[in-house]
Amino acid sequence: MNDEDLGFLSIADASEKIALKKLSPVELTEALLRRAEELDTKLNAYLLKDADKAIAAAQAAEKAIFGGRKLGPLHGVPFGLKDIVDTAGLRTTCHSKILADNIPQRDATVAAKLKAAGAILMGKLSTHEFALGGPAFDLPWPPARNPWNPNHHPGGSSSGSGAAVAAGMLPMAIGTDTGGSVRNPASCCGIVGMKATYGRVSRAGVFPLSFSLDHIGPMTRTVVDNALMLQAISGSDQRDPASANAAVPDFTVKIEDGVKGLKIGYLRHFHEVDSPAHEQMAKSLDDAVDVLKNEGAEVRDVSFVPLSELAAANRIVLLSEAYSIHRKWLAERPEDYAKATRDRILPGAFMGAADYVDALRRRAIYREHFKRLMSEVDVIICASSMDPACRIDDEAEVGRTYGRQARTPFNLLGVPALAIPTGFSSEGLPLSMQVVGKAFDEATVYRVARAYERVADWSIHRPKPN
Amino acid sequence: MSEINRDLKKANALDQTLIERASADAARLIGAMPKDLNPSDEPALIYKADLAS
Repeated sequence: MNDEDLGFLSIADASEKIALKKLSPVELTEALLRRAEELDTKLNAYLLKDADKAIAAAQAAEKAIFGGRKLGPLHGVPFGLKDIVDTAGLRTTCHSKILADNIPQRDATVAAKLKAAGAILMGKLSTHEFALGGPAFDLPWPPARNPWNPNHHPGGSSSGSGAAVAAGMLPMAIGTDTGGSVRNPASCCGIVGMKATYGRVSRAGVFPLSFSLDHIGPMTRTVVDNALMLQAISGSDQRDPASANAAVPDFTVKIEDGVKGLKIGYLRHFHEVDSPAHEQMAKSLDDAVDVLKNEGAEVRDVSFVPLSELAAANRIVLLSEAYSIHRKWLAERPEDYAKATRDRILPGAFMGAADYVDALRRRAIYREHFKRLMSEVDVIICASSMDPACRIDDEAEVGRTYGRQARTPFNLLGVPALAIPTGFSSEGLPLSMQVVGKAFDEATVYRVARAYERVADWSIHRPKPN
Repeated sequence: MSEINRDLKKANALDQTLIERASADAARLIGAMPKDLNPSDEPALIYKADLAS
């Protein structure tokens, strides 16, 4: 196989080839490092490659697997981490001058779990500064770009994770999601991104943006790969006070069961009334719902709280908590932040304690409302982004479109939400939808997403950033 | 504008309109929330007492 074919191997296929000794983890790792050398001068997905350690880890994996000691499906498979995830002895910057020289002493739980599963850490990936600012050009490192058109942004804040996976530089990466930051780059880059239930994946060792809204999530090109990655990183963790003491089911056991007999709620008003979507995005959503109907799902329209209200509650909680985290640095060294990051965090300084508490009180009401809604259906389908990714250098358009999304409600609710591609715009940029489930029922979300993907597999398309 | 919070003085010196814009953004978000909470509506919290605490 050539480097491009190796770059676009799924985790499942790579794992099978490795198990059969048809592919060496070293061969795969070296091919992906060469692809990063070739492509990343345009995409800026990596902040730091750890090539020597990656090759050493691949050699160790090869010896173990070929010696009959394969740990599981991720053993010998490379991955990347958004650079707000701590890595022992390896620089973790949050893409900020503030932490440019930060070298953690200990791995984040999610990094440790992936290493324990035998996966190969390739390096640290670009993010919006502290997982919040937008694409910015006044930071020590340039912003990541979209592999489908490098003049366009890749979404964020897990921008490098989205770009690297979509470009075939990595089969999987970790992102984080506080207001949609796994699902936004997944949507913009045409890959699969999952924000699991709050508490499902440990946040320990990940730089916080908003304690009560932060989620860690897998980003892959296929649904099955995503489930395999979530399997490896899920579970209770004493290092994270919000970690859920919930059993972790096998996310793949029913993934091929299809949607016949499942009840799906189509939440149209987010993208038809509350924040009207680009017409090609809206049509791709309708087409995707038709696919699921044809596969045997029972689809009905459902309604929920207006998007603007949910988004405001999310932002009030997020910005209040984020300002609390950044207040000291913003007071002492505001010049070390990007202008976009200062702009985004500072509203948190103007929210009163009662505003924050009111948002948390509304959050409780929304959760009860959502539970009632979900007693009638198994999953919900709704928009992710309302627009395809715009040009990265068009500050006004970035500002106009970034908030036009329907992801923040599910951070507020803490329920699983997955973004999956639904096609391409006439300009060749990815379109997407979300599949949203009940708390701790990621398995049904994957089942529905996989049923759609079996009919409409957009992952077979490859971007050509060069 | 009233006296600037000391935590924001340096940021304000970098960009004289930053505080005005941030304050307006915050007001817009707060204004988007309904004002119909009942006194007994409890907030959603992360931390809960358990037997070990």
